[in-house]
Amino acid sequence: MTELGRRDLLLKCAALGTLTLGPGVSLADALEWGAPDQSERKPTPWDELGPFYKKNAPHVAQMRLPSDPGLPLSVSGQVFDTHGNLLEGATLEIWQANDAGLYDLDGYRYRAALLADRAGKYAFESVMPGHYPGRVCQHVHYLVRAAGCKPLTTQLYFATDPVFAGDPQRNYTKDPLIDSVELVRPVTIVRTPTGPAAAVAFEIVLEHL
Amino acid sequence: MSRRGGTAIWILVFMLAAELRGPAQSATPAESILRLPARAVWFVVAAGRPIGAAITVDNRIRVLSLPDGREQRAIDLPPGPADVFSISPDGRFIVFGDHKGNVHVWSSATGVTQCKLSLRRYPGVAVFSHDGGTLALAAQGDALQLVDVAKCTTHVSLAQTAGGVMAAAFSRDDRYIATADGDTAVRVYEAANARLVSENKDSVMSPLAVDFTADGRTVLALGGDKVVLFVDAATGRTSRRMDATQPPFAMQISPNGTLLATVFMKSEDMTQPDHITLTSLPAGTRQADWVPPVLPIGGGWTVHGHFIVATAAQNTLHLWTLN
Repeated sequence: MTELGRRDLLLKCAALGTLTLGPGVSLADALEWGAPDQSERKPTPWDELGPFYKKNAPHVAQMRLPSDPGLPLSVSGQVFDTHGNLLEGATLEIWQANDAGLYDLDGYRYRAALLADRAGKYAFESVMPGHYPGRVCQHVHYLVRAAGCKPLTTQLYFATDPVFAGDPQRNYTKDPLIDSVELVRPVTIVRTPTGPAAAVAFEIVLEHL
Repeated sequence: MSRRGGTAIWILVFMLAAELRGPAQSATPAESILRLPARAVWFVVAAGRPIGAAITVDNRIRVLSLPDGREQRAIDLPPGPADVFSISPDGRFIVFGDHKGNVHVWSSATGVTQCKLSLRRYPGVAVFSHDGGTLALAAQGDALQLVDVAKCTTHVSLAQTAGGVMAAAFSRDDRYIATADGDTAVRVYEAANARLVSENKDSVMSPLAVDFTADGRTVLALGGDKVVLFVDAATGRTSRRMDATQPPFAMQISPNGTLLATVFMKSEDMTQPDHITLTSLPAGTRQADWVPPVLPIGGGWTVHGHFIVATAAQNTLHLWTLN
């Protein structure tokens, strides 16, 4: 049930007298109960766009082909504004190097455009990006846009990256492009029928214009 | 198959292969070696005066007369690597920006600080106008601001675009500035008031280098698309496309407007050198094509119309003249 539907139902029930509130519980309390957490959120730190952004990426969440080498990677998250509102319809453009550390400049491998769903959720299937010369850490690029919000360019990093030597808090500055350790996300290694895979949660919070 | 027929086929194969590779690579350019007190890590050239400047690992800028390499002045730098480093085409000013967002402008003649600015994050673009009076400066991801160098104040800011600005160039009369923007557009603005003159969205990947032709009518742009776009500065329309082999590190049109110098990036390993070419304009024929022995640390057009590329070794700066 959507938040609007739940509120409407409670208000209708209260108006018809079919909603009985217990002692000390106001209608406002009842409306508030079960509502999404709308506490203030800190904006996701910025990171630079990099030289290999490519527009018109395909709307595919499955970037990894079964035959692709590399550790399978599932990334998921929600998109909020700084007031904690879910941003349904936010667009996320994702691009990354493949397992060998190469970007596809001629096509759209490991490039995707996603749309946050009604719960602000997004997800994609990929591989852990490879390291490459000239850049210290494994990373995934994001360009996120939503109506009424500032576009955000950022990058997702992985706490399992050997560069961090198991301590991202201490070592994240080894990559001069990482301004905030918040962009280094924990990685859960899961067992799948085809072998181990990595799962990462990355929440995005956009600032208003 | 007869022996003679086989030979003919092999000659044909070689001819086809040569066609696919393009013109044969040029001979090694003339090299001059300058001795420095410490290894250079970045080198820039003033297109309007016979000077250049190098950052050396002992945290100094060394202003050098060219072509003799005589050190005119050394300027002390704060510790830490540079994110931007440039010299004005008239040679009057040098700009240096570090990873903390501190930007310094010095007079190259006196070494006196002309201007100090603080950006909210590290700079991504710093380009002087041809008369040296304006510095186009942007923090990574932010809008480009045009700084009056004499007053050390921002007199106008260009539009903020998603991803910020990747490169910028002034027209020869300094009336217009072209930007290569992260959102893949090439935009032309009036430098006096930041009015958008034209916009080109024909690139699929971000353009990484731009320059005006000498007459100011056309902007050339090149990025990950590996195609040089010729963009009408007034309308934003693409008038011509010229294939390239890689994205660029840099692209500059010669002072007399007849040659396009492009320093290509080996996109699969940016730490390795790739081709550096000189292409005649408007014909588009290749005049020089050379791969340096190591990754260049800079270069540019000289006042004498030569395109020089700098590489570094321990205590020596190697300047290679491509034309």
